[in-house]
Amino acid sequence: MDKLIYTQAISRLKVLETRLIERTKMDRMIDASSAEEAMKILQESEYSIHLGKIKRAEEYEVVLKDELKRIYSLMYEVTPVKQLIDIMSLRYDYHNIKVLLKAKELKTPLDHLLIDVGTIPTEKMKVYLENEDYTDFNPIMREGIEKTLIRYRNDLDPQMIDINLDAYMYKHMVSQADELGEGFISKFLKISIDLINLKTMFRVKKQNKEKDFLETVILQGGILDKDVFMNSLNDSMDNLAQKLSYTDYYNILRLSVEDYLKTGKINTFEKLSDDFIMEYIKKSKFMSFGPEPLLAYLTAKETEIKNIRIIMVGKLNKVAPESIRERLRETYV
Amino acid sequence: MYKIAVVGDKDSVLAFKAIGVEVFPVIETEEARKTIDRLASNNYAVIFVTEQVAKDLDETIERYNRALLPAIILIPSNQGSLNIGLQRIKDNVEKAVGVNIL
Repeated sequence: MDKLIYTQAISRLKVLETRLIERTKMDRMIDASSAEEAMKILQESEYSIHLGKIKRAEEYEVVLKDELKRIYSLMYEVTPVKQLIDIMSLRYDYHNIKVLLKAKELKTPLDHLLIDVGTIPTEKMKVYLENEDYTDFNPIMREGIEKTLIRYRNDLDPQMIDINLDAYMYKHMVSQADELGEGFISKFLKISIDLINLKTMFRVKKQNKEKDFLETVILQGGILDKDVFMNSLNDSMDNLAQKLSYTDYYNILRLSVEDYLKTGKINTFEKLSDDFIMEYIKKSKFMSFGPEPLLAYLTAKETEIKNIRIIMVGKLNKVAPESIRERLRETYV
Repeated sequence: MYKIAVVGDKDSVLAFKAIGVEVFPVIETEEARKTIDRLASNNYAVIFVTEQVAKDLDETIERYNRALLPAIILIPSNQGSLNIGLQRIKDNVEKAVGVNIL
């Protein structure tokens, strides 16, 4: 595809990139004396427009949700290729599908968990799922919902809803990326899938699950083959890291396994894998053509929202500044 | 059937959801008082309240102490204990046994 069509969007986003919250400001938020003080620092940023809506620092989620919505509508406005943003917003569609299916099957209202940034507006999605009318859905999404419902009604395990739909979600994202034919985005997805699979390995091993279970939760379509994971169920994480010493993931695996063996927690891995993706995304910093910077800005913004959430949760629960700093993800700027 | 609820700040109480207890996150004292009153009149027999919230609700808790239901149990929040809950257990033991054996 012609890379020049993105030029206008990129120049606009490069301006907006300068308004991302830089590391020093995050540090100031962490060192603020209270959650309210931390919130005040947001006043100096793009988030200020949402701050009028809330009265207390505890309501920070409202601000983050509004900002996420704003970013997606902005991205849809600037992008010349809608499909590009669709790949990212599909995640919210599948999240909404999960929420609605669970609400329906468990007969409890869960509307407050819906996130209205998907490709299908939540109100519409609700009506479709209520009537089991999937004609407007993409075939992969449709198959996902139908298969999930059959499986769930078979063994009544709500976890199956998540597992099944996650598998279809990545299938859907990959197929959209393939259609788009952009190497950078396909690789981005492949890395994401690998990192999720590695995280799954940590958790499956921690919970001593069976091979059958692993088979259902490992996603396909990453750089690492599914067999790599299937064959290492009985290895220690240490061995798996050694086995993967030829890949780019070796470094983060080595560091995370070290921490995992010490503490039994995978927080380090989660942080390092977010940082790994950020490192990859940063390559597009100096690109002036092509879709890369759009994906980069969106990821940068989502990471920023995640970071603010980490800070606010930390501040409200009086977590020590050093611990918050340790958990903070690498920022784009 | 009677129900169980837990009232407190969001990050302290959310985990109770995993074991099937109904969770009611509150922020302000007034909000907490109203929530507890509402729960009490709605068939909740056991209400867990975090100490951080309970410390400003002496009167309300005392009121339900004299009623048969609900039982209000104080629990520490994620920011540690204020020792109000333990003190109440000691008081109850003293009331029941006649002497503080703990």
